[in-house]
Amino acid sequence: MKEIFIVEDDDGIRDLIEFLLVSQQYVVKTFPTARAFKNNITGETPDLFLLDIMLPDGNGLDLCKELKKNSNTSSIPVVLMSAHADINRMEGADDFIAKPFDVDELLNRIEKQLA
Amino acid sequence: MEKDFVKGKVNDGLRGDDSPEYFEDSPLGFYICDPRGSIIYYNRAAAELWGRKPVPASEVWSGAWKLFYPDGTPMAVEDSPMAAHFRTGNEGKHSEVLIERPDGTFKMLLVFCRPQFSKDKQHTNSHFTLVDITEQQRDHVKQATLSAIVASSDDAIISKDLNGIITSWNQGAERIFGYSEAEAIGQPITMLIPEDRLGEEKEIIANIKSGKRIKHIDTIRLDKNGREIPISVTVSPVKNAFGKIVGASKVARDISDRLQIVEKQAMLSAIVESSDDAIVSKNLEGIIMSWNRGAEQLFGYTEAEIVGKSITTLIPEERLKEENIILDRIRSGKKVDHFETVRCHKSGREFPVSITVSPIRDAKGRVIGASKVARDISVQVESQEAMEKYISNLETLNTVGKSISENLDVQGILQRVTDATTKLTGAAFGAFFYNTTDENGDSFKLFTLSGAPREAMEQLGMPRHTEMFIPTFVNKKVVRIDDIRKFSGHGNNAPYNGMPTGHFEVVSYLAVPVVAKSGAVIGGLLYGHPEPDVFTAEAELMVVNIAAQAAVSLDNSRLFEQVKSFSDKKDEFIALASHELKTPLTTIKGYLQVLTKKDNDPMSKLFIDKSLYQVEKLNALIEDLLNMSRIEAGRLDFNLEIFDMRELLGEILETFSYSATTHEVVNNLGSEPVFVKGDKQRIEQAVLNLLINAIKYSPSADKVYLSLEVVGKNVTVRVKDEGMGLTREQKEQLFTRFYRAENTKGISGLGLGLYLTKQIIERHKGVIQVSSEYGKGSEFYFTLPMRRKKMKKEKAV
Repeated sequence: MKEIFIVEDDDGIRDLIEFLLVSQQYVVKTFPTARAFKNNITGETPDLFLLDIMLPDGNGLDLCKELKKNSNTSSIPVVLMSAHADINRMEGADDFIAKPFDVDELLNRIEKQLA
Repeated sequence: MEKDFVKGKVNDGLRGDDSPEYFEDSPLGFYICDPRGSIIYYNRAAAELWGRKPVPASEVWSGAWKLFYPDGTPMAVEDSPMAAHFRTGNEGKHSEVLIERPDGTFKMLLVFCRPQFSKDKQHTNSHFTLVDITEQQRDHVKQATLSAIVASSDDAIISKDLNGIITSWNQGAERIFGYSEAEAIGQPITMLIPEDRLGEEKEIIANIKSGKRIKHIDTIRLDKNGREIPISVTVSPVKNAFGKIVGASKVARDISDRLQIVEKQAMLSAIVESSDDAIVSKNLEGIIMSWNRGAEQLFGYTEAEIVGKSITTLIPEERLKEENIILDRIRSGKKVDHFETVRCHKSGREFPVSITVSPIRDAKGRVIGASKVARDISVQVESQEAMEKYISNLETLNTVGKSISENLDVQGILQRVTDATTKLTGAAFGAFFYNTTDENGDSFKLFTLSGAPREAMEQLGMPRHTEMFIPTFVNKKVVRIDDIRKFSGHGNNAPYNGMPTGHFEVVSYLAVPVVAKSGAVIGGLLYGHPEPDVFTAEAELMVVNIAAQAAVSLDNSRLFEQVKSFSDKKDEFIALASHELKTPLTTIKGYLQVLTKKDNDPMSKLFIDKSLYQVEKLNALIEDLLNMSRIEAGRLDFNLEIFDMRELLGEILETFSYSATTHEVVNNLGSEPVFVKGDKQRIEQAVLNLLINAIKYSPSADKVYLSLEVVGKNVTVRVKDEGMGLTREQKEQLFTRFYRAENTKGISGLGLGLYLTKQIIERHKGVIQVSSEYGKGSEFYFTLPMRRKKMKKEKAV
């Protein structure tokens, strides 16, 4: 059972992704803000991070950098997603998905990272 | 008998009554000719007159060497009166004959002929008597000459007797006094003398009687009309042959002309004296000989101080050479005309003058000095300089005006204005203060500075709301002060109470407000100079004009900056809005896709597909908006790679044919790969835009065309439709933002597609064009530079 941590501030998207991933038998933990994410992952290491870039209290790019710096998490794949199409560079992340995304595309990319 | 005369001695052959001895010593010349004319006797006097001794019996009629008529024409001896007398036999006839003697002298002779007759009345010999009238002839000529002189003289020549009665009167007298000779002779000379001068005549007569000559008395006489005539008189006694004084001759000259000259000279001196020009004369050594009042005023020296000194006293040292050049010209008789130079005042002050120097000549025409007229041309020079300055100012104004109207950058405008006006006003420094207040109170922020380093000004604090600055920054008044030290508002303000130490020294002060159209004071232009009286009314006027222009430009500039900031805000807004719009769209799309995986009835499946299609359209619109604002902000990023255009077009066709069901895309993509360098996704977007348009605007057609061709080093992609086509105006505006053709009602769109397509192509160094015939369809085609096939390796990298 692969575990995926999701950081996404929009309830609708968060619920959709959670629904999709759970449907695919993933274990999912969701966080609505950067702070919530940081406060609750102490010690825990999932198999993949799915991070929204635009967050109300920070951004996914910075989180990604921190994760990649941290030796505990540096080897865990990070997939970024954003509706802000300006950010189409991955900035050290393993993949990037633009919103609105194709559901199958999202699942394929995640699967690829976990393979 | 005759024979005897011929052969005999001189005294031979005379008959008793002829007695040659008697003639021999006669003072008159005497000779005898026989009837044939041969001279048979002549006396000593005749030989003296002739100047020779003719051989008796060998010459006829005359013993003279050459004969002439009295008027000097040569006379043949046969034509002489002597020969003629014999032929005619007239007695007692006398004639004048001119002879030339062998020594070259002439004698005028009076010849008396007396034919001799025998008892039978036969003409025998002829006796000739010669009288020398040469002297008389000469006196006669002299007399005639004198008379002619007297007659033709311009002077009046009058003689009178001792009783003062006029005895002669020449033409000159007639002309001067108006009386004719007939009227004057016999009249008393006193008729010419004014009553109050009658005493003069008595004195003259007294002098004359005592034999004295009276020379050149200037007096007044009356003419016939009683008009007074100034004359100069010389009176000499006239003596008779015995030396007794019998009268006086009087020569009178009309001196009206001379008096006029004197008057003229007096007038000239008055003119010279009253002239405002300096009129100076100098000799050829450059020593000043005369000095008028004008010169006194111009140069400051009095006549007494300067006459006798060298002209170089007036010449500045560095111009001393000029004097040599001037004197050289004068010596050669030339004039120096309107020479503009500089001369020294007694005080040492130098000033511009225009001088004209002319040679002065004596009565014989020799150059003996120079007269010099000098005029102070300070005013002319100043006005000329002012004119030049004015022209240069106009030029500066013009360039400033141009630059501030072309420039929309506030700092740029203010710096130009400050620099130009500082130069125009002649200020030592100028500054523009922006009319803002800081949190602490009443200070103005320094904005631009000219003529002094910025740091120097910044250290010194800003102008505050003192009495000095309120008029400018609050009351919008121009302040111009010639000497700030005399201004009551200056120096009464804490903390400095005057000029802060190290402050620029300001004596002349000019401040001009820059007022916006709204009436708000945008700021103030301040100028300073350490000397008093620097800023003129003209300078003030110019600054006011420039300030007005600057105000307009600043207004424009403020508007521009506002618009720019609106535009920036708009871009921010679009970025934010698109993000916010896409977020719910993501959820909608996600759930719709989830739904498609469920087992649905056909209708639900159709509806879900339609919904998904609309979601894609909505997403594309949001994307277009975003791209537009990115392009305007210059932030459209490209991921450049080398790719095969043919392959890309193939992919596009595959997906496009799938979604576009109304039209068939007829294609001709060739068989070879065509490499270009660019952002594959953006190019795809461009091609898609063209294809979508082609379909959108040819609703009644069922085909669109896509082709790829290689021409030289370029690749061209063409998208053609058979739709409504474009008018000329539409073609021109087609690629502008938000442009939508008027005849496109019912066709949706924001009007961004072609705009974005053009931007994308141009950013790839490509060209997009359209050819279209209205009503028949359009063809859009873009051309991009092609890459060689070998570059494919890059793609792998």
